[in-house]
Amino acid sequence: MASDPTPATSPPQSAQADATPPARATDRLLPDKTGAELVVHVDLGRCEGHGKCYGHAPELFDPFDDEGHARLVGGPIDPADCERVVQAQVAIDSCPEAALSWQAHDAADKPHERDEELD
Amino acid sequence: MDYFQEYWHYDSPLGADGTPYDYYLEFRDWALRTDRQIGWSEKEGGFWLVVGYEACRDVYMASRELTNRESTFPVYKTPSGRPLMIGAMDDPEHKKYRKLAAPPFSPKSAESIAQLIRETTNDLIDSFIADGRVDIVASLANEVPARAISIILGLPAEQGDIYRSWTHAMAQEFYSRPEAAAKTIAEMDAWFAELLVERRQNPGNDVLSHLLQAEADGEKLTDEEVYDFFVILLLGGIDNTTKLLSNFAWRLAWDTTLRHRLIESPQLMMTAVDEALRFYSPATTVRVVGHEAVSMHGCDMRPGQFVVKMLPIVNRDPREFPDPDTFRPDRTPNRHVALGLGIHRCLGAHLLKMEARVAMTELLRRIPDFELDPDDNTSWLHGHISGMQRVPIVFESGEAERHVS
Repeated sequence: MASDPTPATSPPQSAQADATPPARATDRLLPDKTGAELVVHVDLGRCEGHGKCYGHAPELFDPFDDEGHARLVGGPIDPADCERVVQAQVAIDSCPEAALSWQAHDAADKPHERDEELD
Repeated sequence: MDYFQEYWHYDSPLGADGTPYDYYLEFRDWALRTDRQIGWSEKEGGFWLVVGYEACRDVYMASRELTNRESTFPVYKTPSGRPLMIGAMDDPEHKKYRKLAAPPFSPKSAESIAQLIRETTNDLIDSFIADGRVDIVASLANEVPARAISIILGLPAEQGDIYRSWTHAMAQEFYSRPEAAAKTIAEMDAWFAELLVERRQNPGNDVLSHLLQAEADGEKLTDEEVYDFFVILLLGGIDNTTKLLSNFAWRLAWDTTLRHRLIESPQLMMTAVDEALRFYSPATTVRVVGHEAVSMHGCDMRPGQFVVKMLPIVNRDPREFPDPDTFRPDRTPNRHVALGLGIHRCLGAHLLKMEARVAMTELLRRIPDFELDPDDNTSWLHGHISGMQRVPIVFESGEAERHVS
């Protein structure tokens, strides 16, 4: 290349930024619910349909309306299923609105009850 | 020096790379050192400027105290003089209208036109691939979004230049050349009036036809309301996406490591698009107005005062984004605010990301090697939406995949 167009502000560092699993997804995994099945609660009072959760974890979340509001699909998550747990944690950490959270399955029987005003 | 006091985005100096990011990052580092997330600028009558991520979230969430009435900065010149449909409204009015426009922008609808966008992108590439050089903004970044929104609005797709002259008049020119802008806007006015007559007679499967039949609170929309929808969809549909594609293509032209990585791992394109949005946020200054007095991060905001979110700096806040000045195509999580937060989250977010993903994937497939033209210059456009407006590149010429006229 004749001249190096690399801007001073951003040297091409992306080589070093290799795929690393997100640290936050593994260090505080699994709330204290040993053995209990987990669900990810989607607070529809907060969800604004950004789609980060189903973008990262399409097997766990999908959009259910025109605005792209999300819901959990595929049933509760087995805490022993590391792959799904990590996927769910990445989705939780990625939500710009902080609308997602872990819940023990039995506590989440009626997850959307208080969010019903949302249409 | 107080960076806040002097801030006015049209004055942001460009660095050696042709972008204002040297200056933005100097500003950020100073704000970090002095521990200030919000400050007061004396320019343009004075306004609060938000540069910290946490403060930006707080401002987005305070939709009761801070209203969206004048959300662009400067305020766009709309034909009617009415505030921008949806964008400059507050709930519950905002919600009522937004619901009407939402269906074509759902994640599913966006994906349903992905194949059309792929074909469009390839037709555009066909038109210049034999030349070995092109301004990628004029020939691709300007065109893809204009054609996508044409599909959704049911407009002739080849009139991208005209639509862009309208959005340019409303978003930029009214500020620099008000008379020329007024003339252009009058032309748009007349064109739309004709279109409306035509759509009433021959309704199609497009947004405008749907809006003509839609009801809000049991009442049909007025012609003015349909026009206001048209204006916001055109403005929102073209400018932001064009700048995203332009900035991303510029980056790929000199960042060969990134380019090779995306060619080898095309599945990274989805997160890479979000990273491009974070790294070079096109929406620069998103504004709200004080409705009730509120105090945030040591600043007492009074009713009537403007509060401007400086998204390019917010999205480089190291307290939210580790290693914020490294472009990581796989950055996860990436809670950038380039498409807004809260109730005003960009209505076209899913469409925009699909367009960028498809257009960039096809560009890299067809032209895997390209670089900035050493005999030409890029140029940057400052504004409410800012970014590269000219990115001349050179590459080894290739062949068209379809017959081009």
